[in-house]
Amino acid sequence: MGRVSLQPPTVSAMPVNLDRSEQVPAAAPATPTATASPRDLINPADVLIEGRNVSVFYGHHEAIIGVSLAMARNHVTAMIGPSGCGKTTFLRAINRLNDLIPGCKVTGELLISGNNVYDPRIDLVNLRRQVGLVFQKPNPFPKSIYDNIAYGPRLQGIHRRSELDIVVENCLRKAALWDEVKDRLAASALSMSGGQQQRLCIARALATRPTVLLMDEPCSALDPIATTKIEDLITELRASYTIVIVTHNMQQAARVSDFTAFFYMGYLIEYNATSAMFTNPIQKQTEDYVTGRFG
Amino acid sequence: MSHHLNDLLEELRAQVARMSTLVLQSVEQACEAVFNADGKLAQETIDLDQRVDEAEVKVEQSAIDLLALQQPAAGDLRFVTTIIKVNADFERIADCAVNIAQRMLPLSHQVDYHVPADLRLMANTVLQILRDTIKAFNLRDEALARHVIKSDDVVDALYHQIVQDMLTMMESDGQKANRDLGNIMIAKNLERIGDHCTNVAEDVVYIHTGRIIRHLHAV
Repeated sequence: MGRVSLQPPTVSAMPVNLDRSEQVPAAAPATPTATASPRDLINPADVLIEGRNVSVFYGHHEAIIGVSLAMARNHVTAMIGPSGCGKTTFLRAINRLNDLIPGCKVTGELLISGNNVYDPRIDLVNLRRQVGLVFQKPNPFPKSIYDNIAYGPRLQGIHRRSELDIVVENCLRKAALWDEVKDRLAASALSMSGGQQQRLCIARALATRPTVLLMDEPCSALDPIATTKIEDLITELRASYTIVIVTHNMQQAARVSDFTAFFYMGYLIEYNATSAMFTNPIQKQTEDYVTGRFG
Repeated sequence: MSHHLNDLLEELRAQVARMSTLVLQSVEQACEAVFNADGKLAQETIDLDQRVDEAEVKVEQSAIDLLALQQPAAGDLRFVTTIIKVNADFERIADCAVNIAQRMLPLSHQVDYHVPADLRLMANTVLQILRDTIKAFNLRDEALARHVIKSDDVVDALYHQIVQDMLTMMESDGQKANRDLGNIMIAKNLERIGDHCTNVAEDVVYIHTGRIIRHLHAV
């Protein structure tokens, strides 16, 4: 198994327009080597999140091994791979949620807007405000729908009801939930359906005005209708947020993401435009995984 | 991997292989009918087309089912989507064979009909290209596919030569215009078969490499 070595961050590829229609021209003679890395497709000025030789250790176990990749602002990046490949570990490293795990150590650099999130001077509260996380299972607070959304803004010092009302409505609208709950904002969030609860969690994550939204298998506990709503939501939110999604559902990765990273045993095996990953992957391991021939 | 998906892909491959055998039989019969001015064989070619049409529909249904139910990706996706295109090309090749047979039916009643040498050469060339095309598809032989693509130039040159010859003959002897026009139409259909073979060969390259080489001058 070969480690993927992306271009060093200081060596920038030729800037290419990120207009999706130009990323992979339909009739282009795209040889595999021509799309070896999304760096060739991502204008360096559009990079928001960048890992540079990132390794994550749980004690002596190296769960992520020297991963370098750049994620584009206002795009959706999917991370796929079999269980235990390190994709969720990498996702949680982005907002330092792994810090809570005893014995966890991160080496290398993980930059957001050029700032290393592992710099000791970084304000963790501010980082997690900027980088929202939606978990696998909906986890609304045992409070009202309104208070779930208002929770973060209140912590940030917003207490005026009129201001909070605006935040709550905006976030619920962005999460495509407002019309369903506007008449019962005082009801318990736990009374909502699973799909609604997950959209509430997304709305809650949006309330702190993040720039990045991390999603860890956000639809794995939802039925197909609720899944479709979340996927539509991801597509709409892309215009305003940079989204990173971990999913076991490869068709979901294909449907919602612009770029896809394939992890295996802690290595980043391939990272490319999603259309290329699912039609003409470069690495044989990627081909085997997306066609179900793995193992 | 999913054994079920693998089985379905193999079955699809086998269906196309069976269909291509029918198509080859159809073109061989049509050419034989031309070579021997054989009206009976021409009629058999026309009758054979129904089996080709039925095979085409089956392949298309299987491919669509596989796309909808198995959602193949990467090489499998390229294979299945290409099958749909190749299937249509093979069916059109059989239609060209029928066209040739239909043109041959009235000519076979002419006692003095002899196939022109260049038309015989063109038919044999196209038959070999079709055999190579089917072989390249079944074996996923990229090199043979690229050879097929290059061979089409020979067919085009022969076609233009035959048209020129027939026009000259029509000018000198207008009494045989029907025969000469029939030969031109037979040549035209052979030329179309060559074009369809080129399409299939380009699709074989796509399955193999993921590169779309259609409309590119450099192969």
